[in-house]
Amino acid sequence: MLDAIDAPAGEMTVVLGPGRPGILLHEAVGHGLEADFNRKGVSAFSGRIGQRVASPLCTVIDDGTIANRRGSLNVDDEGHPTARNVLIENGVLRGYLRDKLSSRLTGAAETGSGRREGYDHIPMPRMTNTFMLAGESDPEEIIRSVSRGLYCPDFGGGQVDITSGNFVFSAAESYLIEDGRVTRPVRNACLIGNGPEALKYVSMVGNDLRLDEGIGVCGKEGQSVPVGVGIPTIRINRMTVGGTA
Amino acid sequence: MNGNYAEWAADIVKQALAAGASDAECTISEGDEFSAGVRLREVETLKEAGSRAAGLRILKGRRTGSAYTSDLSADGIRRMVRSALELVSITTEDPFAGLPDISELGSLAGELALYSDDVAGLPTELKIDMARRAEDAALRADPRVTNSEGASFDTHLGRNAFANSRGFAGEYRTSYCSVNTVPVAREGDSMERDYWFSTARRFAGLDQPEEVGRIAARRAVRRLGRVKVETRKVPVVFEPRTARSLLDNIFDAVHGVSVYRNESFLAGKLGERVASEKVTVIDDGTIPGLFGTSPFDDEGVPTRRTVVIDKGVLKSYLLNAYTARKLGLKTTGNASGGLAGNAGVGNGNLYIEKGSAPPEQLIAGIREGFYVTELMGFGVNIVTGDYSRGAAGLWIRNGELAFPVSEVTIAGNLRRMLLDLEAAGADLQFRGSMAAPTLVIAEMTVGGR
Repeated sequence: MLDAIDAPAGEMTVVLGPGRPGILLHEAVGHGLEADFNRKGVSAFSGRIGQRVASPLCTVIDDGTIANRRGSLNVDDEGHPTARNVLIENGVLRGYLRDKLSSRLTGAAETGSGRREGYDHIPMPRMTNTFMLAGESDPEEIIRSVSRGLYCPDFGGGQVDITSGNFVFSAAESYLIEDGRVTRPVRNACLIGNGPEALKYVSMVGNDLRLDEGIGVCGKEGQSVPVGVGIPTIRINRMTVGGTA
Repeated sequence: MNGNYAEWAADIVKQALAAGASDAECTISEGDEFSAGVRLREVETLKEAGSRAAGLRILKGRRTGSAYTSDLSADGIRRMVRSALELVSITTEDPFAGLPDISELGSLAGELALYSDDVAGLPTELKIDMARRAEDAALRADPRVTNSEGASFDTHLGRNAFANSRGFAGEYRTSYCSVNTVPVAREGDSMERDYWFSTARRFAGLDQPEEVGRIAARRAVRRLGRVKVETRKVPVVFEPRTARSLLDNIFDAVHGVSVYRNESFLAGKLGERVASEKVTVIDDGTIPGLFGTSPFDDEGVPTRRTVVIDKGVLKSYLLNAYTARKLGLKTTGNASGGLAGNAGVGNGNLYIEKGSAPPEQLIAGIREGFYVTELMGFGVNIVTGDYSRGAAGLWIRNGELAFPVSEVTIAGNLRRMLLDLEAAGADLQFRGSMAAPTLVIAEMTVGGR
């Protein structure tokens, strides 16, 4: 990082590395699909089931049943078994994450997503392990396809405004891509996008799905719960990078 | 037990000394909170919670051990003392560990107006009505306010006692209430939310809920029809709500721990110019009625007024006894701790001194610029000062707020930003323990299309 140059500013092609950059899905899509926001009609994803919200290369899953993962639970905090819930299938919005209250109010089935920080907290719809299924592309081929862009193999925290759909997440490690090669390290910058739009620009999905190493904590309305994220290497043709150069 | 908590804490300290501690300090903390949540005029949640717990930190020579309990029976206290003593025998010696010097201990005299009975006695119906009035005013304020995330009215009553083995014992009560609402505005495909709130230590000190609702509605509506501007370098104006976050960053940079670890861009800069002469930063824990006020800090040291930055020159860090010893300085009365473990560092009322111009006048002087009303994400590096955050707000054109902007970033470096701070507005108002007026920074990069 001592040799890092200033990060670029503005829209460009971004390649996310596998694993922790899956926080993109958590912020851009996951929170906006929690059923409490949707029964209230205050999410940018409200009323959009069946609509195209991502490129056909994208299938996004929230799965609380994977053995030994940070976000996994046998049953949620309201006694309902957790499940493998398909959020986006080939780019089309499929479902919300529901707790007991949202399920009763909307007449739709529970998804095993009712979670609480502790006995003295109210359960809410929350994510478990959120990830994108692997695609066909070789990760090296994805980087080779970019003439100028940013490669981000690691990310720190993120945040989303559910109503406008705008989300940010902060790069913890990033490099310039020049003529298909990863070159110089750049100073850490945040990336910003809009949830229902950002994944429409996904043009390549790698065959290297990886789940993160298990350190994620998600905060919502003052409650923290452990979560997992994951993603293969993906190429996004348009995303705004918050640098100075 | 309803008696004197300070005496109770002092008694626990005595038990610890009798059991073999060479020094000890005890905190007893009690809280009662209530929250009424309303959405679309219906009650959505009513929440009431009470807590009471004690924490003990002991020293044996230069080793520290600590424990806490919510079982305040005689047995529970004995167990806590025993646990702390068991731990102290296995921790590592730290030559800087220890309580503040006796000469540093004490409590502010005089009425600090931290507690008001009018918060304790409020009927539930009235609390619900406060939330309902705020939301209703927001929903009626503009036809484009079509939905709501609700409103809430919250109260908190607290009681804190602290005693240590160097003769300090004190206690104080606090009260707090707040009303807030989050309206959602819609026009065509554009949907935006914003919020507003009022907080006070006395119920009588709150703004009218109708006023809170109207401001929240205006803030949500003015975000409709947002534009993503082109990437460019322009002057950036932080309104008080977002300017406050710069104070958060300054606090992190003068925080004793980041300074002694040399993990701050302000470490080692005492006496140097670190900001423009428009910047004076004060931490004052003594102002009656405010949210960061207390008679003594969490180590029994009286709070005080500390000039952190004086017309751009760094004058002081914010320290507790431990970080002061590490740096060869004196505590500034900023110890802040939970029940267990070593005290951390917290702010009193930390603020940037106001300037003379009203915010409209500051904006009027800018041809093209960005007025930031919301910041997102965590993109601030206190070690290097690198700054990159998501932002939303209004574009300034020819001295006026022209149109809403969102899905952009603002970036720079805190070192540069503080030196480039051109003006502070006259609109300083405390809505929490940190407050800043409108701030103008000469140039930052706005990242957009």
